[in-house]
Amino acid sequence: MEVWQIFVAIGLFFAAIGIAAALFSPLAWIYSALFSRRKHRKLLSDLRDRIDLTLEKYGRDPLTNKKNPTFGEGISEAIYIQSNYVLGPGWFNQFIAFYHSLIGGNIKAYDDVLTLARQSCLQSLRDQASEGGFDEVINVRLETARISALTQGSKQNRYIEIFAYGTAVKYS
Amino acid sequence: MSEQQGISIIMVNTEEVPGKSITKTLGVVSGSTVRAKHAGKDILAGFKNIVGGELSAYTELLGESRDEAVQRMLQEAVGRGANAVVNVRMATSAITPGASEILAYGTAVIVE
Repeated sequence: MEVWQIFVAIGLFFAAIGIAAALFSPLAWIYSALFSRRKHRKLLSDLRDRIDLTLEKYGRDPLTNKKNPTFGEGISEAIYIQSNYVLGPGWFNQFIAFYHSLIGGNIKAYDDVLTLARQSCLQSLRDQASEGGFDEVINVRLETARISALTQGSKQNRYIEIFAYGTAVKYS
Repeated sequence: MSEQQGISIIMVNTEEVPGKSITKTLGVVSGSTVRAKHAGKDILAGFKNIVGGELSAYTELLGESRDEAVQRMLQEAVGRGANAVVNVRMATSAITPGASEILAYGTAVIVE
């Protein structure tokens, strides 16, 4: 084998990596456009079923953001509960949001993902309350924060964190 | 996430402990923590974000940080001789890309 052949082989190898890297972004984008909303819708409908099950079990929604318990009976136990959910909106949604920021208007694509994140946080509170045998969760608060990744350029990925907390109480 | 492994005194986010009365207020206590995930998990989360959905690595990270912030707050409260912390609030801020600060604060009280 000649020396120049080795150099050509190395050159071809790097060229292949370059082409793969160049193709990755558009392919990933198309994949995101095709499957992102479908996935979010599926997650959301699964979650709605779980919420319905819990509501059926309690006969009412155990969560409230009132400061005092609904029923003025004695309370035997009170404990702090919390849950969080970090949401990646997906490339396609990020693109749509960017596009909408040019022309303005309601960004419907984000409604689904934010509803998903909030509802699953609240459902996690309900789950924790029913696991511990608590009757109600009072003073529920929701918070939203934006966190960004270190390695991928900070322009690309903007993750959203939803955080919910409240006080679970047990009636005596 | 709701279990406090270390110190377990009463902690609620309402103004009073339901079913108990506050006899003494000992002032504001707070605890904070700053954390970052290592780069490998950052990249994995980046791939997951192509389609979107829950990024469990970050959910875990922030859950752990909150527990730690709460623990530090409770430590301060115990140091002041309190047996409960009321009106607990949480705040999050992204101080640099890749790291966020979690702050927990509340009022240390003695309840009966």
